Amino acid sequence: MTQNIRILNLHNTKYSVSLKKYSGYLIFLVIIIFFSIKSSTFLNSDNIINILRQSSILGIVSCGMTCILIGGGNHVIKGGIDISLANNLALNSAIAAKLLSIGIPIYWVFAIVLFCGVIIGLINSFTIVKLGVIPLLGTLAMMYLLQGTELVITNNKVIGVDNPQLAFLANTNFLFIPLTVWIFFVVSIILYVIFNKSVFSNWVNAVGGNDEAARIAGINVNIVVTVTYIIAAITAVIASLLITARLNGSVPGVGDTMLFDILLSSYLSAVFSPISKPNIPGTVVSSLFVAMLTNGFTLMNVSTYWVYAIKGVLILSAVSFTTRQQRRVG
Amino acid sequence: MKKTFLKRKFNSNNILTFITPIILIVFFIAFSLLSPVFLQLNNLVNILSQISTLVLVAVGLSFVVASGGIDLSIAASYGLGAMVSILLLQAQFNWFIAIFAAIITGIIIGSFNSLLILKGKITIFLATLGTLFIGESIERIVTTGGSPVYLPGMSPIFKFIGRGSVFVVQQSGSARIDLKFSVIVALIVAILAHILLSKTTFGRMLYAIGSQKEAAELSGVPVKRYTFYAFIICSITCSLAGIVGSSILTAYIPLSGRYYLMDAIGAVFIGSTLNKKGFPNIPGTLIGVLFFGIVSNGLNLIGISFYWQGVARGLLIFFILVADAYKTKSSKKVNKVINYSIEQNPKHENMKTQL
Repeated sequence: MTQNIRILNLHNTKYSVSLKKYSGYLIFLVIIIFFSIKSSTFLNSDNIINILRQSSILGIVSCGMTCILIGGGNHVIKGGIDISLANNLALNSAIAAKLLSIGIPIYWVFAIVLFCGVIIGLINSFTIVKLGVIPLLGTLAMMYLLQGTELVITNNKVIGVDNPQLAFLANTNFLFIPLTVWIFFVVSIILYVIFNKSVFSNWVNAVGGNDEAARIAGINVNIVVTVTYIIAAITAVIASLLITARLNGSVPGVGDTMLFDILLSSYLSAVFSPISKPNIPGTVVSSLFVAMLTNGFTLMNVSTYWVYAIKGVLILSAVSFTTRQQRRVG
Repeated sequence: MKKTFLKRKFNSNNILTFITPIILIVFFIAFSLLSPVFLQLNNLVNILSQISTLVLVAVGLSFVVASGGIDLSIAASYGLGAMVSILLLQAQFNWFIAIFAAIITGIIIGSFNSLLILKGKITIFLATLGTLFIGESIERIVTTGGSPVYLPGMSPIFKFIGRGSVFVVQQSGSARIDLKFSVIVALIVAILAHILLSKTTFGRMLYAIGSQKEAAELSGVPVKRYTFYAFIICSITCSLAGIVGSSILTAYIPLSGRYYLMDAIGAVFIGSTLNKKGFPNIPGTLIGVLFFGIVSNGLNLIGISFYWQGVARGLLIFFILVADAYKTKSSKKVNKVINYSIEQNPKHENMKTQL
């Protein structure tokens, strides 16, 4: 049946009107126009760079989450998801801050943090692939573990870091655009190539569409799924260093607040795809979209209490509108 | 005949089916050895009253998970249910109106979810996540940023729901056994939910939708209607949990629903590992909740810092998952052996029935 749906979707893509395919992007444009009318400063170059900066860290992790969603399939319960990703980020940020405050040089810290992140990704994929646990439950256990470890390391306190390299990472502009945004750009390009233009992309999409069929076709499903979890973990590591640089240290509870934003922008990416599937370019646009909504409403002097409600309503109506346009099956 | 039955009961492979309860019992024994207070009756009753709200939330979530979905907005249902009831009580309304309005809030949230999923065709994750954002934002707006509402002098009947003692035994020592009414509420809801899920056509329909939606639709299950029911039941139960929770605290703490969200998801899925087919079921969910309750209470009594509890909790769930994976693997192995021997010798067919 999933196969049937896929065929129908592809069929739909081929012959549908091209405008409908991009209704997600159209809504994005409409909202930009709305904000630029409402607020004179919205389209300033400073503000645009600000939005880019605000969205970059979230965007990097969300791209990682999207990789898992692509490889895990779109089943609600059994589909791929990594709830521990945000806490992976938080834990790595805490480790980095702790090690830097002791005085360990930055490249060692990067190596250690990368090692931790990849190990976490490996354990996640081991529970899912080898033990056959559904991703939701396996990564939930990992989430508790990482949450606890972060608390143990930081004692629930802010750890300040004064490191010249990290300050350089946070404050330098290259061609008028902050380094953070460049990193976001590079990461998303790399992931776009991996997940849209390479042989691996065919494997991942096959596994996500129907893992049994992919297995019969000779794809090593286990390795493909493992690789998606490790890629996600690496994005979390990169984002953890960026967030440590931006906040000048690690702040406890960063993982819990980011989790739902990450899930939001990864799932939202399906809107920017003609076949309603999570994809990397869509994730980049949707993380920009989420940051832009927050920024725009703040410029319009809307109280922060309202922002989430308005964001929720807008996003839900946008998603509902586009999915109806695309006449998604199921 | 009786012999076969006994054999089936005590087969080593079948003991593995109950691995999660067995692990729970092992924890239980370990905690009671490590802490003298743990096994005292008043502490056990205490655990029950601590988990009663989580039981309600997790039981509600079981319905949605049984229908093959997930509901992240349970946190919003919990919070808004608590908010509506406490604010109405604060405005000097009757306790009945407060409870009624909270239940109505639950129904509204459930209908909103199913409207998004069934009419808007939004993926379940995204739809319920949106509802969660909107609900929590409403909580922030009403409480101007999340300041708690304390209401110690609330209506005594409303207070009774969470704090009322049903059964008090004053022992000669200092120990005082005090069974709260909230435990009774949770128990009643759990029993009703169990009957609804396992003994009625309603439950069967939900499981049919959950295991294969298209097949259920083709065989005449009104998928949309039953998905709607599942979300409504889930939200109502979570609002009820909000009522019980706010009655226990005699206060409304904004955004407190998030504490229950992950634990409820964990409990339901741990519970579904108990089932042979991996379906969520109420007894399993209760064992999952009990697991969380016992672990956090036991770790507290042993004197492990709050910071370590997340680590311990994660490791213990991993332990259960590994054991569960071992169980499914070994049962597969047994089946393989049986099938092979049947291939070799058709007389071995009866081995299958005996095992």
